[in-house]
Amino acid sequence: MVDEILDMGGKDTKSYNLGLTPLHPPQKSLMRTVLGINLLVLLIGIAVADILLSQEAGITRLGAFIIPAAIIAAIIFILLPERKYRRWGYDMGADRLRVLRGYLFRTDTIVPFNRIQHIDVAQGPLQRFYGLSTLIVHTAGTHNSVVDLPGLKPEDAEAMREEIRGHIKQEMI
Amino acid sequence: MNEAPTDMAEIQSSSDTNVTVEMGVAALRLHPLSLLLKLAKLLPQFIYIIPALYFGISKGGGSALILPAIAAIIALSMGAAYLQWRRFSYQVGEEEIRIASGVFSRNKRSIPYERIQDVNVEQKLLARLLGLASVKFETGSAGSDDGVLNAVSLERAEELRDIIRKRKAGIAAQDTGEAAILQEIAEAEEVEPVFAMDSRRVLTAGIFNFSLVIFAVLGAAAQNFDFLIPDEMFDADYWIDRMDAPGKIGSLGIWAQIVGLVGGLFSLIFIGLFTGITTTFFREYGFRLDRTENGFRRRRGLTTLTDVVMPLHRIQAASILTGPIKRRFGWHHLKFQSLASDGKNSDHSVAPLATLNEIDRIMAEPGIRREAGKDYLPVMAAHWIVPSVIFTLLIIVSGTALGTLVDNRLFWLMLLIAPLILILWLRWKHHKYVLTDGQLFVREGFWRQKCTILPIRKVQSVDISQSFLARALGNANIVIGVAGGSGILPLTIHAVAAEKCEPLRAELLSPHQR
Repeated sequence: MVDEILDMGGKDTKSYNLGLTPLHPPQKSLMRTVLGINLLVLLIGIAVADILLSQEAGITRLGAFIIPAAIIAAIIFILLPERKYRRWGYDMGADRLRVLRGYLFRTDTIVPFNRIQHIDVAQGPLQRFYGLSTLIVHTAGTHNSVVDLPGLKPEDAEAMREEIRGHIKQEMI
Repeated sequence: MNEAPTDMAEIQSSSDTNVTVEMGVAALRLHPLSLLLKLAKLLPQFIYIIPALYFGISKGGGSALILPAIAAIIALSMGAAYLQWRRFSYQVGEEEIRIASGVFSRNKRSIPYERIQDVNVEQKLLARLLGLASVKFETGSAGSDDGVLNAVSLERAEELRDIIRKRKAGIAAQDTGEAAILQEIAEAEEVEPVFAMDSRRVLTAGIFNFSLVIFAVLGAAAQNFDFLIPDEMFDADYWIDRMDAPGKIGSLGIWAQIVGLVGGLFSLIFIGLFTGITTTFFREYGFRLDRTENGFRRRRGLTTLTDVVMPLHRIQAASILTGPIKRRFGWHHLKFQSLASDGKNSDHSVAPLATLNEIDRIMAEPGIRREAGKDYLPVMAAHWIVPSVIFTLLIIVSGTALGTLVDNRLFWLMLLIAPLILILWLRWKHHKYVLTDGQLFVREGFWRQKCTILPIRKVQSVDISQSFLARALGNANIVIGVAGGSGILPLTIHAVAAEKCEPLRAELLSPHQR
């Protein structure tokens, strides 16, 4: 099942974000960096466990855990950011924002502009390094009251914020 | 009310620059008796301290120290409460309420009148005896970050509510020119209520609120006070021994066993009914829903009196709850989902036990139709088949493992599969939806049947979400963001055929099209 999906990912790149605007390309590097850091932390943990189990307790042979884990981590590191990146997309309609995301679990969100209460443009240290911004829109809903759209060019994010702000009128809810 | 001139200067001088500072607006303190309420709230915590102190000191042999130690703890916490009270003040300004609090780290909150949705007045038992009430300003923010004044005198609470409604109406009048509509205000002429429940109705509601929650409470208590319970209580072997040993439970004879079982069941039912009736009676006593100029006002409670207002235009959706038995008797429970929260719940119960006629009368006010007028659409069978397959596999695997490894009686666990599948199937059977004339109707649940009715102009956002399994099976969930709804259990239509999702979403969002 999963293999089949992985296979399809190789062939057809366009249909995954349904022709919506892709994220700014450095976002892929950012996702890879974040993933890399997380995997590294996990691998260090596994390595420690591996050494303890083999040297101290003598239950397993050295490398019984760390070697397969490293291989899996390498595959994830190579494949996942690309795939996740390709499935992100957004579309600024005349009256709504659409955000598409997710690899195994897909979500396709539409927020009408006149439902948006306020807007943030955020940038973390890593994002600043890659020249990226996140656009965050808040609605009054409790489900999905915060919709994040990461991986935008800072200028684009600012421009989108201005455009959405123009649509926010007084009598909302 | 106590004036606090010392704090006033400080509050005003350190106000944010972007809020208008009204000179001469007095900073007020809470009612001094609210200290008693605080002490009463702290008391249950002392109960936990006492055994700790007892063990600690009895080992040291200084039992004479117990009383002074307890006294010291009480004095300390009273001192802290007093300091908190001293440092808590509120101001009713021209455009906002300002609340300053905190002994060491000061917090100054400003709540603009335009952002206040509701002003709720609550009186718990002790507060009622002391003539106090707590005032809560609902701002519709997701958390419990709203302003609470706990507590002021009842007259002051009502006065505050009037002031705020007037100010709010004033602001709205400037903005929209609808002064006349909003000028209503508090002293809602005591006309016929829209809905009310007499004691008999409240008792009936209690019967349907059959609840075994007391066992959860007892379980939690057992956790905390386990030093009082003999160790054998939780030892399965002990009970098995008792069953099998001659002259014990196992040898009582079949009739005695049946009598025991029936007696046990009866006491369960009795306890369940008793908890249901008492909790409901305390909560719903004197239930009364009034129509005010721009919304509803609900009053209820035996010991804890609550008085909640709900402006009509804040009502986002309605849900009607019932169950297979309740339905037989024609009873339904109506709730409105509003922007503000109602205690811990995100929805406001407006008719705990009502006939459909009564519900129609209430729902006519915000203009929500109860009848769809069209057949409901079923969702895809994957909604029950997928979890059935997963659970069956899980139970077979774990049942086999436990049966072979632990005790072969555990093979019986697999009998769970049939009722589980039945429940999932019933759940699917009762999950239906329909979208007609600007309203979305979603039914769910077999035992707790719930029909949510959402006017689609209140839709905040729509998700189509799909797991990899759902994608392979060609279905998706539609998750609808509604203001004030539950973030954990949002309004969801499960397992909708993938090709129907896009048109349904387009229709749901059509009021927002330009």
